Amino acid sequence: MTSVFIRPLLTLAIIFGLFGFVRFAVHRGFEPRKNKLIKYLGSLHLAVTLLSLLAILLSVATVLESKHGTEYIMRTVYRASWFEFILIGIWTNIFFATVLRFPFRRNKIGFFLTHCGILTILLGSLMTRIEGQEGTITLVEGASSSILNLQGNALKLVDTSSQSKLAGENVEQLNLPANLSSDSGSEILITEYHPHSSMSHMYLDGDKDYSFSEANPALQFSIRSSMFNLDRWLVNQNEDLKNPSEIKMGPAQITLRKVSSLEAQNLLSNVSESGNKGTQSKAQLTVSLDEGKSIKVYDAQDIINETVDIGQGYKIIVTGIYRNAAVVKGKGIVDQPGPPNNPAIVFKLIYPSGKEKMSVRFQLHPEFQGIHDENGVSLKEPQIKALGVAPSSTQPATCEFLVDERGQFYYHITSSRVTQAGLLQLNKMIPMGWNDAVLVAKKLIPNANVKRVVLPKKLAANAKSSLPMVRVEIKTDKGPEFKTLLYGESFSYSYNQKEKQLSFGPNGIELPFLVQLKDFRKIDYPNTNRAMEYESDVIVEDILTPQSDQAKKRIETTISMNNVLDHAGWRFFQSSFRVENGKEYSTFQVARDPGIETIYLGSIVMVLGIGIMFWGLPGAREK
Amino acid sequence: MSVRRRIVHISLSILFTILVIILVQNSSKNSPGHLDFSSLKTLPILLEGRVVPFDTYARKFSYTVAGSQRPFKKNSIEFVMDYVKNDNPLAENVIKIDNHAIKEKLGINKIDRYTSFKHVTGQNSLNELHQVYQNKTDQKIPLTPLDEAFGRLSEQLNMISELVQGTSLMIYPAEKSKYTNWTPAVELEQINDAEAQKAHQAFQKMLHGNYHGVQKDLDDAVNDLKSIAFNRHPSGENFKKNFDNELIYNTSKPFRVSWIVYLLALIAAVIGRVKNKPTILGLGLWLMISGFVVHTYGLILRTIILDRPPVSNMYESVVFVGWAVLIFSFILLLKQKYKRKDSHILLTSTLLAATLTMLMADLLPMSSELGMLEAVLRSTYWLTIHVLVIVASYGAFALACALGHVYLVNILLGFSMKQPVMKDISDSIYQCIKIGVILIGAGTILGGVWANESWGRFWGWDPKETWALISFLGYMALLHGRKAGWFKDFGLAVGSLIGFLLILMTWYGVNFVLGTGLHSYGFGTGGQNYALGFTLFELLFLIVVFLRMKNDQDKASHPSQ
Repeated sequence: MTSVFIRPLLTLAIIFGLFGFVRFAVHRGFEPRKNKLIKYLGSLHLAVTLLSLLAILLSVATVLESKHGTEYIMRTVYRASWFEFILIGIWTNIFFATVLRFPFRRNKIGFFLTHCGILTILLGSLMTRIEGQEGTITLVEGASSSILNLQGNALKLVDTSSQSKLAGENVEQLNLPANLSSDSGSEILITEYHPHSSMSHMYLDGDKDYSFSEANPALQFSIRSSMFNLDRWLVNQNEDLKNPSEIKMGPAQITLRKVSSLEAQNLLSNVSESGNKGTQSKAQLTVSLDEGKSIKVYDAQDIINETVDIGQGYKIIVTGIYRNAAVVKGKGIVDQPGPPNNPAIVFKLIYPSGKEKMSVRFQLHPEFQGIHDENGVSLKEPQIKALGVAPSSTQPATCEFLVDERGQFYYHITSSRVTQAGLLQLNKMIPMGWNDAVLVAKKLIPNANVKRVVLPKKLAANAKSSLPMVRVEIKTDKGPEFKTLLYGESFSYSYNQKEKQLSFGPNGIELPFLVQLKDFRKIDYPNTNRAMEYESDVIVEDILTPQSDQAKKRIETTISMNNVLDHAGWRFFQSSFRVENGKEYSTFQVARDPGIETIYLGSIVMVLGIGIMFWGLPGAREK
Repeated sequence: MSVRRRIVHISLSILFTILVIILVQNSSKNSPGHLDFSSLKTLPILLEGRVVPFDTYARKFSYTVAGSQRPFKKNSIEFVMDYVKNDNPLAENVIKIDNHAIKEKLGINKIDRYTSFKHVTGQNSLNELHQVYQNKTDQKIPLTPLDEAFGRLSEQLNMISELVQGTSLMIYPAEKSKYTNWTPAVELEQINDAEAQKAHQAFQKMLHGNYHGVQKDLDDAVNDLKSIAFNRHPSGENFKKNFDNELIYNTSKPFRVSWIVYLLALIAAVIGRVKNKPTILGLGLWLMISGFVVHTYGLILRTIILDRPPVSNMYESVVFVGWAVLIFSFILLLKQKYKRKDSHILLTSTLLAATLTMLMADLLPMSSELGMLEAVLRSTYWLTIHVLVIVASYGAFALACALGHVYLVNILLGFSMKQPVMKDISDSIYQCIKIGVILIGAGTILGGVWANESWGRFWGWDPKETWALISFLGYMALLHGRKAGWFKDFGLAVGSLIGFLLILMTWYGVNFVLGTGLHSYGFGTGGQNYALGFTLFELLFLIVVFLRMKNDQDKASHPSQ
């Protein structure tokens, strides 16, 4: 416990010692007020300038924070190394301002204490900034961990054979370009770091001599329609993507697949046969006047433009049969060329009252019936459906691209009504039968060389986050290697006959103990969702190393808001929680702050000093 | 001043205060032709996690739905009980809507002030409004007045549907434990428990008594319900005691009374000054004191009711700042620095600051409800120490700012800076700033200590922390500049105004304008226009003062003109 007092007292002793020295010098005839430099450094002018500068800087920072997010402002301002110079500047100013007051009388004691207090606080915060560590541990119930995730992203170099860590550095804090410090000299140069990145791919023609089994065909195509536009690449293999040869678009699926030329030919001939067999049945209207119990069927072709009595006083006149109906402004319903996507029958319904209404029935959308009149009142009306205007099936929409060993590309498209297949040719438009969609192949590569392109990206505060990236130059046995690593990636190489792995990921450190989350609870105020308390039951257990001789310690306790756990110099706080897939995750803030006691002592001295400066020593009368 | 005159002053000010209290209390008067619901007032019911007397629920209901605690000339409980008595309550025109845009959307006539649940929910546009509102709140897009009006409307609809269905009437503690859930009246019937059945019957009897106007049935049923709830809950006895306090708080509205009394005192002080009548000035002082007594009483009541210091949200902090202004003013008065005839300056400044803050608290749309604490604030000890100290410092700076205004207004009126009264004002400003600086310094450090105990770090550049530091630095720059002799009294007065703008940013701006950081429990929207207006007014005022100063200096340097 005594160690708690060492730092603050030592700090205060150093400050007092410095002033003692000044006092001694003054006693010996040194006159600080005659030294121009000291006079400037300790001037009120500099003080007010620094105070105002800091105030303006901080206010700008808070506004930026609300725009760009806390992480951004921490990195660029508060945790940046230049920020320390401002603090050091203020320290210097206060120090010399005090020096200038020497020798001073009793009535300056408030002034002296106040400024000594601030000097102590600033030194304490410097300790916190340099030595302090602050990170988070997130655990799911039942899990345990001894890794503390610190702010930032780290590059780590590991000897693969011995699994020993050679070097590690928080890239965020480095002034780039910088070497990744390691025992074996500077074999890794970090050239760039960006907190956000965007990844895309380039598909180049690869080796002309390739075996079909190892080929990596790629294809760029576009699908244009009135409802969607798609411009994409499909490739057999891409290490960065899970399913590079597959795109899902609602119920439709687009794929790329390698086949033998024989298989491709078979497919083509099958499709053309079945395509010719298209079952064009008769266009019919079914009418039911008793909600489906009995049905009358009329061939629409036969009764076109005739008035037909359908019973109960209702009459219909069929005015049009459309294989592919579309509503065109100014023209009403017209038949469009192309596959029968929207077969329909248009007719006039005449009510027993003599009222007439134009009506349309779509074969594929039988539920689309007019059941209300203009006033929204539902009408008693016969059930009428359109049937057999055009062939239909229930096949799902698929678009398959095939490549054979000769490097020939084919397409095979199915929709609910048609199946088509053929040779895929560059820049040729192929109507797909998916409404009005048209397919165009833009680039066909039988064996592609996939190149990854990672670019830094600027990110707005509330945009979805993307991965951080780092660029490095590595000396390997094969010569220098330039690598771009995304967060979570690693690169293995050998150098000086040693197998090594460089990985880029969270900036974690190993704690000397294991933290286990037993249970997390969110307790609400009665009958509300408003949290009254967050509680985590944890077990903290020291990890025994061969060197340590102390007894193994095990603590079982509950951490909650305003109720922290102090263990081995670290402090645990309940920070946040989340629920994912029904599991509760609890996040602890874990921090070590060697400067805190110094800051406390400085604060007490400062507040005391301000009090004395403003209102005099207790007991002493003013004036 | 003679003892007799003082007695007259004291009795007059007490008389005025009582008059104000009686006028404000008007809202809870019983109306003729109604049952006497006084027994119902203290029926315990769970409202937003807190056990409250039914009176509080009824007031919230009638204020939220009908926009007043005394709608349609009934008191709140009468309004609620009449509403449930209705054969078709949903068709009753009780929902007050002010926003014209939403009235138009919902097909409500512009001149109609009230509409019904049935009408509103029958509108197709309600769905569309809901979609827009939902999207905007999900994506944290700023709301338009129309969206905000919809937000209020949906709260009104919720309150009504929950009352009509009985789901918000949580009158029965589900378990016999301190933080038990409460069971809504409508679910009582399904609970297989003799006591719950008894409560169910009592509730039915209460409704019956209300419907048929049988006073005895109602009172018996309410008493049954009360004794069941109080006996089941471990803190039942405490509630019983505390409910009396809450009823007094609800009916007396101490903070409204205090601002009215402060306003009277301000008028008295100004008249006393203008007409040069020390008697009226003295009356102002005593009115201020009696306003302060009511104000203090309100704070104590709130503290007792909530069992914590009243400093956990914007409303409470504003009320507390007003109180701190008075305290610091008394300290300055007691120091007797003022010659008697100049005491009106301090009086006027104090009353100006106090009236304005309390008026703001009462009239601006701030949630003044007695609410439960966010989890992170549930440390009464630290909450008391840290927040009280910080908010007290705002009070000191507010007083300094008010004094600064009086100083600058005096300059506009042609006072010379060399007049002793001006020296006195400047001296008071300096005293206030000194008090404020030491309080905001200590309070911020204490906040750091609390943060170290609860968030894991002493200082984390959270916007609220940072702005407290910026304010501190600002006042530091002011004090150092004064020390360096760059400016004197006038500069201090100007500085007290600018400094208070910094405080305003720390106090209000961080939560309502920046809206980031860990002090999120105070976040909210609304009032931006008032804050912006105040800031612009202050800047304009400063420009006018500077122009005047320049004019005077020109005159002084060219005496021939």
